[in-house]
This record gives sequence, C-alpha cells and structure tokens, in this order.
Amino acid sequence: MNSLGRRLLLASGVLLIVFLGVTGLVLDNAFRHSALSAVQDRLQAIVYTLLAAAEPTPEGSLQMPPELPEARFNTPQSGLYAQVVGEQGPLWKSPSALGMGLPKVSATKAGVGEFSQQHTHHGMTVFALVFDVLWEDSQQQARRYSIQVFEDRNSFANQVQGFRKSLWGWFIFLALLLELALTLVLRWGLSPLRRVVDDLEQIKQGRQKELTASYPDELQPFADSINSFIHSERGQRDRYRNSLGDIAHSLKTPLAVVRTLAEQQDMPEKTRAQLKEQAVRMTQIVDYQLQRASARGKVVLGQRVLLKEIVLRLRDTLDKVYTERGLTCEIDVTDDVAFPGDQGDLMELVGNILDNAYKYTSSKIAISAWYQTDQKTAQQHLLIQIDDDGPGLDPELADELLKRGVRFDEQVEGQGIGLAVVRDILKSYDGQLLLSKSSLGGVRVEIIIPLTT
Amino acid sequence: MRVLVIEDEQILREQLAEALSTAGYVIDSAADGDEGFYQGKEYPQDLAVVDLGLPGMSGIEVIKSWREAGLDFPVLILTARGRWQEKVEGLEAGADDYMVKPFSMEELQARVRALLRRSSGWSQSQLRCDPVQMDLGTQKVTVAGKEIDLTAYEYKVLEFLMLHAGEVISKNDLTEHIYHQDFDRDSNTLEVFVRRLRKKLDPDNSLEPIETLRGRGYRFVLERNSA
Repeated sequence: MNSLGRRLLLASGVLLIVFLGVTGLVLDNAFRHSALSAVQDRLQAIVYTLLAAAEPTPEGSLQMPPELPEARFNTPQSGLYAQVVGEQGPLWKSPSALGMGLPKVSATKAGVGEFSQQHTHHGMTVFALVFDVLWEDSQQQARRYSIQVFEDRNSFANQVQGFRKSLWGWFIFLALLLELALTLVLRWGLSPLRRVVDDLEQIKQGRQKELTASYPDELQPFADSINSFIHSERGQRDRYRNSLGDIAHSLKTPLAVVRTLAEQQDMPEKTRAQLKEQAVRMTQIVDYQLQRASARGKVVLGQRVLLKEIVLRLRDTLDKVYTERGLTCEIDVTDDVAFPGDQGDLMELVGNILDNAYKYTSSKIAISAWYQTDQKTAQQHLLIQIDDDGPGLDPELADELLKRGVRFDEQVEGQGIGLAVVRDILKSYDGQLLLSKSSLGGVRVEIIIPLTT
Repeated sequence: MRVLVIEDEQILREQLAEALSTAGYVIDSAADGDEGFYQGKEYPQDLAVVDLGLPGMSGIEVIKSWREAGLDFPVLILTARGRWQEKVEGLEAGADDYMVKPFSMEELQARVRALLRRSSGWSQSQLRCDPVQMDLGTQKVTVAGKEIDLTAYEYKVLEFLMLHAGEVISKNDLTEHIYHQDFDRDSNTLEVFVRRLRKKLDPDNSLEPIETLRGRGYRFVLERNSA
C-alpha cells in the first residue's frame, strides 16, 4: 500500500460500504415494522367487518351472510381466510378456505385482537389475527366466540422483497457514483504531488535544472527546500572545482617555466635531463591528483547528462585539432541515451578515450552507446564503445596501460595519465573499463556504467 | 610572420617570446586579456598563443571577441587545468588547437608552424612550388633540388610570400608581418631583400618567381604543387 491515492481510495471505499450498509439495514428494518403493523391493522379492520356481518342465532350459534363484503373471502385460495370458532368447535369458515386446514389458534383474552404468525398443515405461513367476543344468547347466557382472520404471508414477503431490491439497487448505484467522484477528487487533489515527481524526474534526466513550477501552499516549502539543496550542492561543486583549477593554474605555470628552462642550452646535458625528468614527474603528479580530485562521481540528485550532445562537441573539437589527418568519426548514439552523472566527468571520460583514438587511428573511429541489461542481476548499464582502425594493442600492454602514469607509446605526445584518470572516474561510478581488439582492426575501448534509478 | 603571445606569467611570456622570435617570428606580447585583445585587433597577426587563465578579459572572451570582429588568424590556447570542458569551450570559442601546461617548447613551435601552414592552405610542412621548395621545419629552401643559402630576413620574406603563393601582398603588409613595430619603415630594405631573393632563386631570370605589381605589392607566381 505505497500509494497515497490508493490508500485514500481504499479507506473511503471501506467507510462508504460500512455507512451505506448500516443505513440500509436500519431502513430495511423500519420498513418491515411498518409493513407488519399495516397488515395487523388491516386484519383488525376485517375482523370488525365480520363482526358487523355476524348474526347470533337463538341456538347459540352465529349466522354469517352467504356473500361477505370482502370479496377475497368468496374466492377459494385467495390468500385471505376467516373462521369463527365457538366453545364447542368451529362454527363457520369463509368460502375461500374451502378444503384448507386452518391452524388452530386461540386468544388468551376476549376483546383484544392478538396478532401472530402461524403455519398451516400444508406448510403455508400465514398471519393470524384472533379476536374473541362474549355475546349473550337468548337465555341471557354469555357465549364466547373466536373470530379468526388469516392472510397468506406471501404478499407481505413480496412487498418486503421489492423494497429491498430497489433499496440496495439504489445504494450500489450511489456507492459507485461516490467512489467515482472520490477518484476524480483525489486525482485532482493529488495532482501537484504528481507534478513534483515529474519535475524531479526531469531534473534527474538533466532536462531541467530545478523545480520551476508553482506548487500549492502545502508543497511550496518542500519545493523551495529541494531547490536550495540543489543550488548549494551545485555551488559547492563549482567552488571546489574552481579552487582546484586555481591550484592547477598556479602550480602548472611555474612548471611550464621550469620545463622551458630545462630546454636551454647553457646548462650541462645531465642537469638538463634531470631537471626535465623531475618537471615531468611533478606535472604528472599534479595532473593526476587534480583530475582525480575534481572528478565528481555519483551526484546526489541522480542528475543525468544527454550523451549525444557531449560526444558531438568533443568530436567537433578533436576534428578541428586533428583536421589534417582527414579522419572520420562515426557516431551511433540515440538522442535519449544519458550518462548518470556530472557533465565534467563525462567529458573527461569520453574526451580522454576519444583523444587516444584520434591519436592512434589510421582513418576511422566509431563511437556507439546504448543501454544494456545484465541477465543475472537485471541491473541496467550504460555502455559506451569507442573503436579505431589503428595498429591495435598488445593484450599484455593493455593491463600496463591502465596503470597510473604509464605511457606505453612515446611516439605521440600525451601526459600518459588520460586512461588512469578515466579508470579513476569510472571507479567512483562503480564502472568498468575494458580494452579489446576492435572489429575495425584497432583498439576497442568499452566503458560500462551501472545506472542507478 | 607575426605572432601574438598573451600570457600573464612574466617568465613564461618571455620564454615564449624568446623561443618564437628565435624561430624567426615577429612577436607582440601582452600580459592581460584587454591588452591582448587590443594587440590582436590593431596589428595584422598571423597567429596568437593565448593563455586561458588571464587577468581582465579571459582567454575565451578574447578569442570570442576577435572572431566576432571578423579576425580569423589561427589561435593556439594554453590551458593549465587541462580539463576537456575547458579545451572544448576554447575551441568552440574559435581557437584552433590547445596545449596543456607545462608543454615542451619544441612541441609548441611545431604546432605553431602547423597552424600557420594550415591557415594559408598548405597541408604539408614542405611548401612546393616547383622548382622551389621550402621546408618549414628545417627552414631549408631548394631550387630544383639545390639548396639556397638565405639570410634570416630573406627567409622571412620568402616564407610569407610562399605561404600566400598566388596572392598579392602589399609592401605594407609584408613589412608588418616580418618586422617589429619600431622598425624604420621608410627604408627601401624590403625592396633590397626581394631583389636579392630573386637573384638567389633565379640567377638567370628564367623562372621569375616573384612578380612586382606596381603600386600594389608582390606576388609569388609559381603554382603550388597539389598534394
């Protein structure tokens, strides 16, 4: 349950079901009660009608008219039945009860209607209203008669059933409607959060520098904090880099002076050689440590740099420098491939390798980059591959070449630290550097960098 | 050939100026960006060596401003930081090559020669306009395979004319590219150098490699051999 939206929807859904369920039960109950008392009132009224129609006979019996005012009494199996029971047993049955065994019931008190549910022999459930009366006969003797009216329960049950059907139908409809409305309200209410997430994703992909949109009052302080965090992180990085650059500048200019002095003829050959050697060593140490120190490594906000633009800029730069060699450099990098880190680091990585390729190739260089997924770990990697068609590389030299400060070919000018810097930057990204034989005939350099998501 | 050096570190600036001037270039130098920009704009430079970390205008700003002003002489940048970001920005601003400090002076001279040659449309360090050949590296000149002995100034004049073979070069241009500012421009020495060059290259007047266009200047007329 890791989504705010889902949590709210689930909670409101449960509340809705409980609320509508309880309301439904209460309404259902109330309806049953009022329907039952309506049945009772109706049966009571029928009893009074029967009483009014009855004529006591001199023999102490009751005479009922052949046609009763309630039409249903005259139709067999109509669902409404009546009988009159005297002290010695049943005296009369309504025509509708012809051939039916009505349940035997009796009242406890005369003059009060008693309402109950009964079962007939045929397994039918009926409502019964029993009303006992005391009548004096011609001998002034009180006789007790029990007027009994029965009504089939079916019509009541149908009524309740119909009510329930429409009640729950409407409730379900209402619940769905409310849930839909809630979904829309939630989507609208949570949309600023989704926008923050989208904007952060844009920053990660390097398409945006900070959170720029305006957010609701509750979120604005959060967005502001993230922005100031991004700024201070960047500012710190820039200051760090600038001061490193200043150190480089102030150390390397005097080194350049020393190096030139070492080339002057008015010193003994041996001194000159030693001076030059020491200057070169100092230069390499300064270069290597400074480059290493200014490598950024993984960035806090998972910033990304689109690869193609950087590769194109480096190619244009090197094309200009090596213009006379008439080299061609093919780039096969799609627009969406991004490097998961700092732009300066990416430039150092690709710049150093590409520069080597330009130095050693005969005519052609190919750069390609793509994402690759590890079969076992499902980890995604960025793979950058640079091929040249130069003289190639002895495998034994490859290891040596990756070591610090080793310069395996003095023929071409270089400080010899390029690949060492590449290796160190890659280490800070948990990346890998591979050297192998290229299908073009020269060296293939592969950079593999795990993507952190 | 006139080369501008912009470098704020005095010793290095002097070393650069000395080495390049020994190699036969006319040197202007500046210690900061503003002065450097001015020198590049006001004098007909053939090339500039620009340090990127300068007081005042930065090296990159200087190069950008020159390019915006329509100046297209080649520029070699010197960078101390050696980061690719800086090299790329430098070349995008309009520089043509970079060197990371500290550098070897020989290497720098080779790059300067290559840039000068490239900017005048030569693709190799052997300038060949048969039968005259000039090697920019060794500064040797041969006519039909026979080496010709030239003085420093004669070489400078011939180098400039051959680099721009086929183009008309005014006397004023030639003077500015091979002499320091304070050189006495009234003298007829330029004409003397050209006359001596003609004699050395073409003792029997059969080639006539250098043409004089009255009131306009000189032109090296032998055709460039295609590479």
